[in-house]
Amino acid sequence: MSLWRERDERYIIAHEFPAAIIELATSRDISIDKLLRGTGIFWEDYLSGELRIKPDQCLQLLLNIRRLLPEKDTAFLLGHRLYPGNFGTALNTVWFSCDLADAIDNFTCHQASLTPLLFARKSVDTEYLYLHWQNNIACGEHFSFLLEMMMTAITSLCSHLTGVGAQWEYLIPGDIDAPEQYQVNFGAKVHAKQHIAAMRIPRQFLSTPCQYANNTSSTIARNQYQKQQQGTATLGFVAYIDECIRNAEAQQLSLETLAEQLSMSPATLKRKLKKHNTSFQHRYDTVRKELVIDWLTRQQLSIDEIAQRLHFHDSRNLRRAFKRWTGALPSAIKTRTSLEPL
Amino acid sequence: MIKLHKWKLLLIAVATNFTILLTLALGEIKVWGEIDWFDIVGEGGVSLLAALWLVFTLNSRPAGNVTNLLCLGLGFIFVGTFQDLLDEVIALPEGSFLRGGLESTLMPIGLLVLTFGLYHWHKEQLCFVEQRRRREQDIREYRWQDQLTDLGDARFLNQQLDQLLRQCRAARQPLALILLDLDQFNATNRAFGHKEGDRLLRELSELLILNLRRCDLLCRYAGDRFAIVLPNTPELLANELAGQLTRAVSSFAYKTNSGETIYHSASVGVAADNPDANKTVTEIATARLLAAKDRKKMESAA
Repeated sequence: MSLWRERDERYIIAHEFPAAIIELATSRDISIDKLLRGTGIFWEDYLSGELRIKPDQCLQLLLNIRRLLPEKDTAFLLGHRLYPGNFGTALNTVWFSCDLADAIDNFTCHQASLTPLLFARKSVDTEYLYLHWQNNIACGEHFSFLLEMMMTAITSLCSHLTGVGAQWEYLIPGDIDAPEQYQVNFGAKVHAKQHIAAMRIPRQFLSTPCQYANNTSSTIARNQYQKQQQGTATLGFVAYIDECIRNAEAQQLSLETLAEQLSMSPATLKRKLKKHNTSFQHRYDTVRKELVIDWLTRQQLSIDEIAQRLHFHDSRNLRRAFKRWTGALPSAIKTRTSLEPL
Repeated sequence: MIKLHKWKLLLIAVATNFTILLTLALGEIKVWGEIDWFDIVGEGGVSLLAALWLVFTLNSRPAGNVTNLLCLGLGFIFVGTFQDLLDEVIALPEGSFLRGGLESTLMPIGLLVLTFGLYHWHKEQLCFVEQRRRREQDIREYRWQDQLTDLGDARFLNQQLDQLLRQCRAARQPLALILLDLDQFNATNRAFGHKEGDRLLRELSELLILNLRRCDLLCRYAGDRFAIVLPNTPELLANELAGQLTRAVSSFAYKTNSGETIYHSASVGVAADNPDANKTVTEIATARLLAAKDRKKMESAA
């Protein structure tokens, strides 16, 4: 049994996630031939309802729709169309959840089908529940597009299930290209230049009941899903490596030690990382950056403490590394206690 | 579009073919050494460009008299230049009409017909400009046009707003902005499908245009939010106009494809330009729009 999924494995069910892309294209009268060009997907196979495609094919499909519909609102339109879609049991577990906390739980548990290209990592502190969005499998240049799409999808799904509008706040890593789209789709609580990609919701909203709450149906869907997915991995290769690095925070990690942990040769690990357009150092830096931001802003740890935890020689080294990762000093991140709205 | 003009294209193709046959019948093919390649490139290029203009024009025009004129003019030019090109590879006897004579006749006629066609195109365009005035004011920039509604998008809005703000401030006139947002648009999308939602937005943009003055500019801000720039308008009048728009939206009985009627209400945020404020007119209007939405939510909850 494999622990992760790679970009050339056929595991994305075509009538689930990719269907949103196809549905948007057809509603805008784009010819199917143009949309499927270069993807290796055949319309008849798609209609059969049994087609599974590789992440590579899904990324090509994404590239095609972005070329055919280059407007700024494409990602948001896709997000609104994604759920409930035709996800079957995976989405049913979310649909029949009793409250928002339960719904988010079920979403992250069954995300392998619900969000095949981005990985949603949930974390909770005293004030907020966070959903961090991370690269699941070599999405490269499409990351910010997928981020807009998935954030819209979650926002839209949650507000539909609970019947009340968005209480989410959005933390966007870089600059915002089309602020109008963010205002209309996400409201006023959007914060740019945060160096992380996450959305968060104050914990008091987590007990908001969902309108289709049905405990029995939710349990049945969960059991069905487990039976269907038996023995298959949930994480993409990139997200799996990130999780390994994140869990190993206490020990100093290198390509060799990680390879040993995954019981493969360093050369194989290196080759697999390259296949996913990344490298060990890139993954290692990305995860450590996220950890530092997390500890600084949410756990209020001091720089010295963080340097020690991450095995930096001293805090000066950490500051320098952090500047290299984000372009800003840790103090700049920490002093920004109140987030500037858009 | 080009499918509408297959007869015209066929006619031009036949005329071209005819000149080839005629030239071949009268002249003899030159040997390699006699051919002046420089002339071939020059004349061939002109002929190719004329063909390209023809394709672009036909591909962007519906059938009609103006199109026929443009096509005829460009057709003459194409056949004339093409015959000139043939002249380079086929030696024609001295004094034959085909040797230069045909081109000298076709080119001026072609240019005259084309000019006549362009004049009528210009008149036709003036009618459209009047119709599209409340969508684009004085500038047309297709890259800044929203594909769904044909309105200007947010970039177009920002650019126009900048310009109108400058003009109004210089003339000491007030300027106001209305942001209008549908209530429960997502619910409509869910209940009736996104295709209905798209069509609703298109029809809504027509409805809004009908309720605007000639000087106003309607843009699609994003999603279901529209922006209306009102030059030379004080806030009081802008509020009045915003009231007219919301009333128009709430009595708009949208019909779905299956014939059902859906009613919507809209929320608005109105702001007048204040050069001394540290917030832009868009920021103020957005804040007021969100406040109006919140108020509505509170009322419906109570």
